[in-house]
Amino acid sequence: MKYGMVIDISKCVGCYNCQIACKDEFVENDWPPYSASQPDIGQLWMRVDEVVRGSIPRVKVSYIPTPCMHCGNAPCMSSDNGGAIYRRPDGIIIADPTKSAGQTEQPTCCPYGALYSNENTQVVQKCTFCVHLVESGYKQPRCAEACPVSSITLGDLDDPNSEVSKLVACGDAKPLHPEYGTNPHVYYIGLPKTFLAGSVTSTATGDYIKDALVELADDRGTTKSVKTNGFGDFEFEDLDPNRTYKLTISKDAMITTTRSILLDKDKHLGDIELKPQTVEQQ
Amino acid sequence: MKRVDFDPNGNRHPENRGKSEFVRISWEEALTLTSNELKRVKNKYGPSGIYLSFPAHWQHGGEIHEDKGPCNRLLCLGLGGYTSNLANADSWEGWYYGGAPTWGFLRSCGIHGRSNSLQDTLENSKMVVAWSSDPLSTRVTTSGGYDVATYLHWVKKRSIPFVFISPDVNYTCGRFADKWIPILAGTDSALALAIAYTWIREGTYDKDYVANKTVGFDAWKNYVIGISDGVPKAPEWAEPITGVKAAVARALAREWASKPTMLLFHYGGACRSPYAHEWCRMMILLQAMQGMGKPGVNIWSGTGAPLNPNFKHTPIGAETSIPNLAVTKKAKNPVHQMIWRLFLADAILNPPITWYGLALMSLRTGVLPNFVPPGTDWYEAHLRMPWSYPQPGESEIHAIYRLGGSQMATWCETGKLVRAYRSPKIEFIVTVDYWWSSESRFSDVILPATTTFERDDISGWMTSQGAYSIVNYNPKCIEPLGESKADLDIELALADKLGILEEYREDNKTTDGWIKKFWLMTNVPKYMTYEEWKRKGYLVHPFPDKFSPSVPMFRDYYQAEDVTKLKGGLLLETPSHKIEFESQLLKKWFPNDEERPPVPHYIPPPETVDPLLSSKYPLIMMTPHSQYRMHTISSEVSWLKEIPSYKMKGADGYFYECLWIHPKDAAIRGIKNGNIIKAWNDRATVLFAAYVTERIIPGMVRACESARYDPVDQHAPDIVDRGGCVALLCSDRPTSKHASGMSVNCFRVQVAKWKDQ
Repeated sequence: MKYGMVIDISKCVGCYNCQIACKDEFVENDWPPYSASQPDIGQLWMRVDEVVRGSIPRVKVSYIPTPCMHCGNAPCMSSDNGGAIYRRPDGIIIADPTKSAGQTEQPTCCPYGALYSNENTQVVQKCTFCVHLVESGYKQPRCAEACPVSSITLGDLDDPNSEVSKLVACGDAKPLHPEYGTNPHVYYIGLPKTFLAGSVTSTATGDYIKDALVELADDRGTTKSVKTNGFGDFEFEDLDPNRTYKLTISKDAMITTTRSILLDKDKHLGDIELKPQTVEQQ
Repeated sequence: MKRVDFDPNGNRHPENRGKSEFVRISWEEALTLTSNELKRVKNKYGPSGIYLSFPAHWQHGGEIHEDKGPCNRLLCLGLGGYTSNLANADSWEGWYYGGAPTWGFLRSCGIHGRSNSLQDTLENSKMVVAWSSDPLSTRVTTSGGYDVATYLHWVKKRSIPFVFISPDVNYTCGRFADKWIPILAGTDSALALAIAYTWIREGTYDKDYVANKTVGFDAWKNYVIGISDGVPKAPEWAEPITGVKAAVARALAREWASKPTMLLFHYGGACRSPYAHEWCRMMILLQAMQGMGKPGVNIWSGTGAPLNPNFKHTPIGAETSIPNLAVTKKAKNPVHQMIWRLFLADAILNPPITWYGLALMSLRTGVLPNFVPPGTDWYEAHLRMPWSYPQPGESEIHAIYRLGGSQMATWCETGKLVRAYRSPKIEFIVTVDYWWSSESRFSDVILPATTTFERDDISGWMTSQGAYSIVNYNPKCIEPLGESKADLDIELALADKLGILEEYREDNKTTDGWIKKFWLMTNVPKYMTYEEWKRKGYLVHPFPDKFSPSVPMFRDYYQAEDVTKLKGGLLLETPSHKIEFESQLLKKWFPNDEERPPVPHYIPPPETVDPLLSSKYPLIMMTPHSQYRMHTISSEVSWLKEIPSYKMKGADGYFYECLWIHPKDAAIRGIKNGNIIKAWNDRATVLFAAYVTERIIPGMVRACESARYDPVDQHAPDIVDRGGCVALLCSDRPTSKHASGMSVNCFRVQVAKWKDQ
């Protein structure tokens, strides 16, 4: 038995219902022995992070609901904390509302910022996957119940037939910040990566060019291609950041190649003019 | 509670309203004081001396206690009536004043019946243009939920591209846009003209449709291509006005004409700008040029879900219109005087006032206000006739009975309201409210009401235009907190003081008696008994067994040989019974109106092009509806304040409303994300937290309407507000000369860091 969660970012519309439902469950409510009441503001056990990418005229907004990751290799459990933070047999990590009192240093060890210290009671607090509800028969925690587009799912990662296992098995589900090396038990579908976009115009007419072929090559020699749409726009989503890319754009007898572009962040290249001969461009 | 320095028998100190503290008095004293004052004002000035003020959305959940119902009954039966307030076509201004003369639909505020455009879009559209539209904000907070998020995902799943046209990356645009066309607020109609120009030049519009199902196209064409005024409305003409490159406008026009394109909006946005009716008219005309009603070509507003034919408009619910206690038979208001409520401050400070429009109230009740001569044509009453206050033979107002609400935050240039509430002309203000709201503090007496959770009631709500319509039983969850009383109980107590208790309650000895009386007026008794309904708590109107979705609006129109022969609701109410490029009503009634000419024009917003204002206040402001509150409702919910694009915490611990500003505009002012900043113009100064973002174009700033009024210093002569109350900054200039809607966008401000940090 190993409880885990899958959160589908591609569905999330940023309503913050999960963040608020979580507060509704835990603010002013003690759920012994798993959690003590949360203060009215200041703690977000299911914290929705807003991510704004790109610049005018290509700006995308994503939201990343971030609970405790209930990590397999949890930094919060690495020190000898006298049972203040422990893992249950079902994989859920609990910050004991009694034993964790006074451990004010503890929250800083979580790279996800999912641990909080209660300013008044000095106890360590965090998401419990609503274990008090799950134990009493609830199928899903409050955050998942409140989601209008069903983007949050809790389940048993050890059971291959569970919904979460199936979602993970699809191959699109990835942990947030795997580089932290904590083996999170929360997986995400559709985490935003980096995009490279632009628009192709014709020097002859000044208008945007539809169906131009845009070929992308990265510094490892991998290539991708798309065609421009009716607005002359092209876009490569899900690129690896901090690599260099080169674009070759062609339509009929016209062709243009860009210089190498270091993709240090999401980029819209603006208008790229397509001329009847090969020209180096910014 | 009573304001400490209010003495009904001595000095009333009206100048201290909003400044002085309150002191607790007993219910007995409060009711006696209130009933005596109301009687005194009535005896001195007549019933029209009393003004009943209520908000657009009391959100009080329940028909028995719903805002004006119990109070209307009291004032009508006990005091011979009152001067009432007339609502602007709130949030639909441009459609009401522009849509109705173009294609009719006055009863639905100038927009068509809009059923089932969702299915039409999914099956037939190849592109969706969301013009000045943010359904995730406007559908969700007002209209019942996130069903719209699911619908948007369905569109996305079918690879139907979304094009958004707006100055900001609004919440829907940020998640769903395939293409964002940034545009300077208030110039949308210039872009619309550039699109029409491209279609006319390239011959890519539905010429048969235009010839057979519309009138006045030649006059429109002459304006678009510049024959009538010498200015061709080419994309190159629009580019410096709108900031949209000519090539982008042309690409949009070509894409739109090349495939079935759905135009998506809900409300708000550009229809709340100066001359917004021109843009709304053009939206209709653009789709008419592409054959409105053709599969996939329409205007999709609301959710577009199919209607449930089992749902009948019950007498329940503000959404579902018609009676509550306000219009029970015996309680008719005989006073033939109303105030266009947007002009309330001027009505008090500078009467007389004149306005155009009868708007929401009469649309909802289906009854024209009582000062309209019987037999008056609806369109004339709403669109042509000027109305005024005070009416001959009626008194100006001298007492205000307020039912909560926060007009200070929702109307325009509301610093004027502060002065109006402090006018010595207003001798008495009583407020019934359940919030300690900032505007209620401008009262002399406050009567604490309960929330919907503290009393029994019946309510109706629906989402998706009746697809899921519900009649609820709302038993109280807890006993009333403190000494608060339910609205009905407050009015009953006042009725007792006025000696009309028996008349007031008739045979309804208990609240439950009222609930049952209302329940009998719904169609719930068809499905269950009263006891069953109370036990279950609600009825969802079932869909019929053999349900077939309704035909999208205008499909019949598109298919008809002769659209003037269409029957019932399918026949357009315009004089020609066709869509009118040149409005026959406007041509007849206002032939020389340059602000709303018979053929719609682009007219620049006054403050945008004012050279003096431009140098003093370089930024143009937009104030859309918020995703995270419904006007002021929920604006003080602490958990919502932790949403970063909505509120940010200042060093002082106060949560400031976010003002969106572009990094370039922020940098030249030394402003960083999260800084507390001030935005100001000649009207007021308002503090915000800076949300520095690429989500708004340079030269513009954005903050949502209806953050609450919260002055830093009640006693200061100039208003400095920290609640983020943009209504203080907004101009109260109406939509146009003959269109008295509010325009909440396109006014100018300057922004700088707030000194105290």
